[in-house]
Amino acid sequence: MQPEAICLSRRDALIKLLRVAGAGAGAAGLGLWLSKHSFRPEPTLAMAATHGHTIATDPKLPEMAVITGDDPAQLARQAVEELGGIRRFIARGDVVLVKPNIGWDRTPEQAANTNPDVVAEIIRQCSNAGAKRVIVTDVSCNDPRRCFQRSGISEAAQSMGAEVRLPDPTMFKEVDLQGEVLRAWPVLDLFLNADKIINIPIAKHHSLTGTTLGMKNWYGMLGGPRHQLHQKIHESLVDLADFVRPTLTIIDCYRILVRNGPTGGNLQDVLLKKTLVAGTNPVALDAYVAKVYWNLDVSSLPYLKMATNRGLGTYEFEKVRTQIKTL
Amino acid sequence: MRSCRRSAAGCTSSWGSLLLLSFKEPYFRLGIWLGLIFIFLVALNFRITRFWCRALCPLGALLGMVSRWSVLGLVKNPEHCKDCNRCLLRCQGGDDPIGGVPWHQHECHLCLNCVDECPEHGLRFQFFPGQKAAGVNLQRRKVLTGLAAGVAVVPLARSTPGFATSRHERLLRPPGALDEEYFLARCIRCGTCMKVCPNNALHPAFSEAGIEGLWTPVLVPRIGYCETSCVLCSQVCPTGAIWEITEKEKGWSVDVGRADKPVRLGTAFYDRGRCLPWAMATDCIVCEEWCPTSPKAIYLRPAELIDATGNSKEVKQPYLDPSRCVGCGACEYACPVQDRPAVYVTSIGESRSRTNQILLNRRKG
Repeated sequence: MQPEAICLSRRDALIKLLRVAGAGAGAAGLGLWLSKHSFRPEPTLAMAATHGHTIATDPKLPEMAVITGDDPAQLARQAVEELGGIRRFIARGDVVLVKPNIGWDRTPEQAANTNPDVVAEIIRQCSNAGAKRVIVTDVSCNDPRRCFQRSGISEAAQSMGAEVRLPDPTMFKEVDLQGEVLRAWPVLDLFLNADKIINIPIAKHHSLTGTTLGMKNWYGMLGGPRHQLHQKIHESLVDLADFVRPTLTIIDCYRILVRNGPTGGNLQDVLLKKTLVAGTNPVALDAYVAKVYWNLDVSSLPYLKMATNRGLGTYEFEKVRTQIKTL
Repeated sequence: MRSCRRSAAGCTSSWGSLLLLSFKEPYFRLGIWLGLIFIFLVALNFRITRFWCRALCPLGALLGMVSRWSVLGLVKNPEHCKDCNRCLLRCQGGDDPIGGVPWHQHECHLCLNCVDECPEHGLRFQFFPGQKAAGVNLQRRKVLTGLAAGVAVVPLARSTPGFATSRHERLLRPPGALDEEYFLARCIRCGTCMKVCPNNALHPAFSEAGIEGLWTPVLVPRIGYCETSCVLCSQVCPTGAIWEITEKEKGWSVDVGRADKPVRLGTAFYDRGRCLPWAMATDCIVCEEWCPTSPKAIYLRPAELIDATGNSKEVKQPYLDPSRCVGCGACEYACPVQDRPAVYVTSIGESRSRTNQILLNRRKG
């Protein structure tokens, strides 16, 4: 039997053909577009960042000040005075980042974090000098909320009107540190946008480097797998110090942790030294504190020579203009 | 999903202080299975209204048994009833609020839909109703079978050694937890401890605690360590399975080095085949850095090694002193060999157990 003829007008046939052609063209176009957009994923490039926040040296002013006394805030005030006054460091309108050590969930008496009174006084000075914003932060090891609270730094800083910022996973940017061992690394963005950076570490025992002083405090600006840095600890310390080049360093030796650092915990591991060592030569400061309190020479601390060779300061602290005072 | 930050002690964070979401986004093991089970139970309601409550919930069954002594009951007014069955259609318990049949008190949910629905206002609930309700369907055969099954399940579940003889090595319980038999008797798997843990360290157990311990909280140091000063889980546990302790009793941040009896969750052990200074002639010591005890449970000893290129190298190698270790898991958490850490915590040495110990001098405590 013959199949029935299908009645299709010329118009209908053309329309059907056009529809098919259109669909075909659309599919082909989509295929082309997709193939152009299908590429092997590459990791996002680390951004370059401006680094270095130093101020000009002044041959008439000391590069290091060692102040001993009872009141931590007064020590901080005096140390800054000896180095030329806060207005030498902070200009009106500056965005200042204050970087204490808020790494561990410990009280001030346990000497694992910076003395809150010292931090408060420095903030007060910065505000008096006309800083637009004073930010206090650190990428803590233990739970940041507990560290900021228990160290007393959060309360002390807020009482002086500083912005206390807890570290957050969204605040890290991949930065090319341009170091010898450190290249692309996540850095807390607050460090990238500051005009001036003030380093306020606390002097503690550390099993790998002997002590953890000023330059080691920069670990607290990094995110990511920081625990890998210990494999090249001296080189990475220098890379970090080179990247930041702070405006001012104040090593808190009011209480020092002489054993079981950097976490401490036992009050018997703490010695009351009632001293602040401040200055603009971070290498000399570290060398001085390591020698005076831990009797460690430059030979035990390779990073000091490496930093000197990179132009970050000098490990020969005896040759640095120093002002030593007892209040 | 980006996490928002809780304003802690007034600190500001990028997303402001009005928060509903947690400080750090938490993740939970077995989360997908728990979620699917929950969705399944909710979906059952499409089949029969309040399926869980009526057919599965053991508490519902128990409450049904004692409902005969309830002072609140349904009173039907048969003169008003027009047999429209509207009350039955909206009844959630399936307890026959319609006229002409006894009311099944033990099935009633007291939703009061029947009272709302009756156009003749023929139903009301009142104290001491006076009308006799139908009893629970307690056919002897069913009751005896049910009882027998219930009785048999317990020894069956306990037939595996996990309970009495060999504790699973990764059964790390939260600080303050009671010894296992008391813990399992009290833990209701509410999950509040898991929610409150700031380090997202507590997770529902799958096989570590046997079938009786399913979904009870277990510390997983690879995901989060037990925060030094934190006792939140012990504060929120509603049944005392995690007995409430103070920071001082925990002894990891207050009285460090002087506490006689800090709470111990277990003991850390080294896998020297994976540890950088032991196996790869490379410096590390991150575990020792993080160890919160004082004196530290992890101590270092120098070793002279020859590395892969033949050069002599001195590295510091970590050792563990079990008498100082509290089993917090910070070392395991911080270890750079992240996929399978070179230092890991197992439950032996936990202070809540008299028997799960290594050291002789722990037995007196």
